[in-house]
Amino acid sequence: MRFKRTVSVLIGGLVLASVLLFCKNADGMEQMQMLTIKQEQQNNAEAEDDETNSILIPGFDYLTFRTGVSNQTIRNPERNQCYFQIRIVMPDGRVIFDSDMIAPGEQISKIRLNTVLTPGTYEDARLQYTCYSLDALQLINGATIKFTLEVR
Amino acid sequence: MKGLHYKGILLLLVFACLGNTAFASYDYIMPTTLEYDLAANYMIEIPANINLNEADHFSVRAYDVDLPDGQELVISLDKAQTNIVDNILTLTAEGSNNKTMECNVCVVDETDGELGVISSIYESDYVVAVFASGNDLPVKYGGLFFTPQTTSAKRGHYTTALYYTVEIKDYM
Repeated sequence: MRFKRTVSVLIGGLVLASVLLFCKNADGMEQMQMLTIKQEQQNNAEAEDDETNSILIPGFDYLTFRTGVSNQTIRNPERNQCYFQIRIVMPDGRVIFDSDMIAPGEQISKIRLNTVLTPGTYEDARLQYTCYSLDALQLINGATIKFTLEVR
Repeated sequence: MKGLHYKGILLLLVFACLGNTAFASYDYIMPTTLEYDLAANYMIEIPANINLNEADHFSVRAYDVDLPDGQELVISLDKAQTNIVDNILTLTAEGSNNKTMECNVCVVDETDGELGVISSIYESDYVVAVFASGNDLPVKYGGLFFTPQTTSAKRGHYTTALYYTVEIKDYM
């Protein structure tokens, strides 16, 4: 009788120990999974930071204008985290176009010059991108694209 | 009489259908829209801002470069708009025009996708990267490396903006 009781206790103890061990491992695995997820989230956040901390700027080699208008679309890529303000400057320094602020995902579809140009080809005209942060409209890095302006 | 009645109705129906058939041929004209997306010749990628406490270099990239034969895309630092003399970039403390900090600027070689040989930006004539048609990796240089000169600078938050010039040139 005593022997049976002892065996029962031993078996019960083994079962209990197994259950406890399993729970501990499961908890450990869960923690490991949480760490992995956190690392993935951190990696994703870092990747997103890299992406959102850069500016995509479209460039052109030629822009053609007829009666002072070009149908060229200039789009602020949706991925950008900044406004574009676009200016077109002639080789002699004259400003012939200024855009409003263009938000990410938006575009200008018609460029209407503020002056009448003599028909011809003008090399080294400049398309200036001034970029402003979305939150505080702070000036950030920008670029100037040199292109050939054609007037017909 | 009934027969005539039915024939009459039938005739009416036939004429009605003919009429509809006649009208159907002029009924509806599909509107057409013509679209032509004048795409950009290329797309460049520049950093929006750089925190030199966290990173000492950045890359400049170009995508979908589509240029005539014999030409390449050259991205340079715009000396006129950027506060740089020779290879020294000047940063200004926020809220002060007098507190400045200098920073050495070099170009890095990333033509094989990894950070490589470095030379002063002055020696590269301020060229930061050169791209050819169909290649996302630069064919020359690729980015900038910064070394802030902090020994004589006072405590503060220093910033400056970098402006780039992008142009299409004949092969250099």
